Amino acid sequence: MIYPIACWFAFNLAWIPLINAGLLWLLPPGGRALYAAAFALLWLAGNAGAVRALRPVVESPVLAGRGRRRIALALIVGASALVFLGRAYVNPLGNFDGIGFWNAKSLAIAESYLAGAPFRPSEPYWILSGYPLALPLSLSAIAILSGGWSPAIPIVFHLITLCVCQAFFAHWLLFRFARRADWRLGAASALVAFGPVMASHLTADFGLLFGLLLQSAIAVRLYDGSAKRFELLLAGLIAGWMWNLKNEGALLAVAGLALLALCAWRTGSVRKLWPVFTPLAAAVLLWLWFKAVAHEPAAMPGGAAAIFARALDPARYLEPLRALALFHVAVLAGLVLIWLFTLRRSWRAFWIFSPLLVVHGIYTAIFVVTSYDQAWHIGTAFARLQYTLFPSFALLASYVHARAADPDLTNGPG
Amino acid sequence: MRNRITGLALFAIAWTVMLVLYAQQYKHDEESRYMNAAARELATFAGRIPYGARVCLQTTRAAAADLRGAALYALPGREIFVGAPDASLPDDCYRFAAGESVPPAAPGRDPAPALIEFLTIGNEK
Repeated sequence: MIYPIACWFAFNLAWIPLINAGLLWLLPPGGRALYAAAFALLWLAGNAGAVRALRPVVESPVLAGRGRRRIALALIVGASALVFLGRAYVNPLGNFDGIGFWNAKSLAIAESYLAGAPFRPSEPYWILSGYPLALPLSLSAIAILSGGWSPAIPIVFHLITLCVCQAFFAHWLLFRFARRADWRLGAASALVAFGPVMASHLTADFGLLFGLLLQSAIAVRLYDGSAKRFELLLAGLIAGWMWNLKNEGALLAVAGLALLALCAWRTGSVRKLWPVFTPLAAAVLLWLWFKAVAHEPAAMPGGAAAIFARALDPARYLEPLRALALFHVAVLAGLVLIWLFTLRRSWRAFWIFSPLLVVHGIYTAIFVVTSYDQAWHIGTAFARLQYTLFPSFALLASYVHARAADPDLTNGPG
Repeated sequence: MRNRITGLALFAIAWTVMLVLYAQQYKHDEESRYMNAAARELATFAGRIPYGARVCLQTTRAAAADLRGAALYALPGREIFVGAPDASLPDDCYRFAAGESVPPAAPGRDPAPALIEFLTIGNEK
């Protein structure tokens, strides 16, 4: 049941900000009762459709050794929640990004509406005023329904997201395609080392991680012929939500869609992708409108000429190499091990990693041409950007590993 | 046997990667503690500062953006200015001084020292 629950939760991550955006525009500000009634009606209608559409989604049969694996899954989720709550106790408002713009914007939108002021999607004095509003719209919806902002709102929201994501990821690694694959238990347990730390920052990064992870799972199910129409609709909805979550959300949404497209192309099922495009197109139009009205300073001052000059400076490649040496060595070692012992020196299955490797390459290129101090930019951004990719990478690696051991393996009936 | 060795190696790699990422993020925990403390203390003044008013924060902290972010959260709808004590800030401000770092709690002292000190409203105390 964990996969359908994760799908239903992801649907609501996208549905709630859409409802809130519509109500903030259409309803007169300050009318909380009318807002609550309209919100409840729309939320129930959307969820009734989602729950009905999820019924055909069939889980793979749980394989042998379920007792110990269920204990491991419970320990991973429980430990993640405890680490998160411990960090939230010390810093209940999150980190710089969490306080300075995600929670600040959410609070401002909610209190503005409750005070009777019209909705303004961007204010010039906001930090990163050009960042899209999917997360602030989710949190402000909860605040409006609650009658006012509370620091507990983002904590509870991110805790639930963390637990659903950790449960889904750990379940996939531990229960699906089970063979003797102890490394997957290790990879799953490694989630506890950083996942709750990242979630406790109360930013949009964990949402991007979860969205990309779910898209990767749907892509694998498409490859195996198990994906239902609603899952592909959800993939488009999630991609659109990621597009409106952060500026880099567009890049990750495209990576997830590229993975879906690759899986569809290799199995001759490209026509099955049509449900993806309608929600995605609507979300991209919404994003374009927001970018047109937002107060946004230039992302990289100096323009294309300055970016080009930095790209041609060999010295600018040293800092990313130096700062990220251990990380790259570790990842390269992992890929070599998979290639040697799992894929039996065959490159055929590596296509499945290509979208994520391209994203990593783009991130590294951004660190080369950045107008910020390189060491500062890498120090503040690299860890969360890479952790956003890691769970999806591990999920795909577990699938490659299992298929290498059993080429007839499928995702389950249906 | 080979499968088990591969498994252990990948286990070690996964944990190495995670701990490298964690170590990178840990360096920013001080910044988070500062902003949480500043936001908590500034929020106690929210009822006295009307919407639209100007708020000026003086600090010698190098990362002034931390204070600005905390003020945007704690005092929404106000115009925030942050600068060094000798910087030119608007006159008609609710003016505060902020420390460079969260003061450590001295044993036996209750309450803990404040990070934020309220100075003046415009030219009046």
